[in-house]
Amino acid sequence: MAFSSDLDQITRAAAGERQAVSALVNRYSPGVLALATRMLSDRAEAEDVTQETFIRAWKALPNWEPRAKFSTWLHRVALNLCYDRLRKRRESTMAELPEQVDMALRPDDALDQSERVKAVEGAIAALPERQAAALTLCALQDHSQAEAAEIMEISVEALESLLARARRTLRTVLMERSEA
Amino acid sequence: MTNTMTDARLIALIEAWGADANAFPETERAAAKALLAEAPDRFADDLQAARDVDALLGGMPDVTPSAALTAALIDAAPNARPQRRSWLAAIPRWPTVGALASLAIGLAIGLGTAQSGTTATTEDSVDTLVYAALGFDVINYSQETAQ
Repeated sequence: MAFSSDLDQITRAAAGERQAVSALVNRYSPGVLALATRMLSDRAEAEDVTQETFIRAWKALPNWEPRAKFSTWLHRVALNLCYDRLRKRRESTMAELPEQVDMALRPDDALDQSERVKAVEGAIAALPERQAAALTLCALQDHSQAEAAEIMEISVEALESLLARARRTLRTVLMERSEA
Repeated sequence: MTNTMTDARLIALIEAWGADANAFPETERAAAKALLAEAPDRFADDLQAARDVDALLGGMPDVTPSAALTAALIDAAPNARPQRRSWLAAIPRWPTVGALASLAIGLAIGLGTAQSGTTATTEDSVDTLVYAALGFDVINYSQETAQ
């Protein structure tokens, strides 16, 4: 969607025009929710993050300065909220022994799509958070390389490195064990 | 980025961006495609490994917000703010027009009076009034003054 169209809708949404508000929600909430869902592997928490992201957006709209695309800004806020939640989650489970989950796809899982999806979701969520974010933004969403890097506030080279490590881990966890 | 592509760089691109060369960074895409076309067998294993991961990721379903979440996000947005009214706008209009009209009429009469107030007639009657108030008979006083 064109940048200028965003600006126009942001201006009208800031003035409280419901049609513009709905357009922004319909355009961007699926991406924000998907990012949070993949990062947190928890639908309820992902919805909380989505709500918090949009509440921040509504507060920011009256003083919005188009330094970045609205989409980039929105995803960055969502990603940082996810990082916060993952950090708190880690702190609260620090004392507990981590549960070893076998996420390898077995041959009989091959036809079970829902099991496969669950295994991939689990494997993504188990990745280091920046690798999970890189993979979600680039491989599961339609962000360009430059936009994904901007959301994560890193260079495209760093993004590439995170992606390579994420994909390698995913393959190791999900495929090689089942091949063995 | 140069147009030259090494085997190591191409493998790094496949590992990061997947088996589809169209997903590679634009600046290196053409060179990468050329090298792949030149020696496809050399990268077959890397491409297959990337395709496996691509297939897993490609099978992930879309995440769609529920109607309830969408409604909550829209409801959280600020409502249309009433336009700020100045204190002048708060004053009812017809009384204002009436007051301004009265003012204009008053000014017109006042200006007219002021112009005619400079005539001798008015000065004389004022003099008469002042002398009378002081106890003088204006006519006698005038005659005595003349003698």
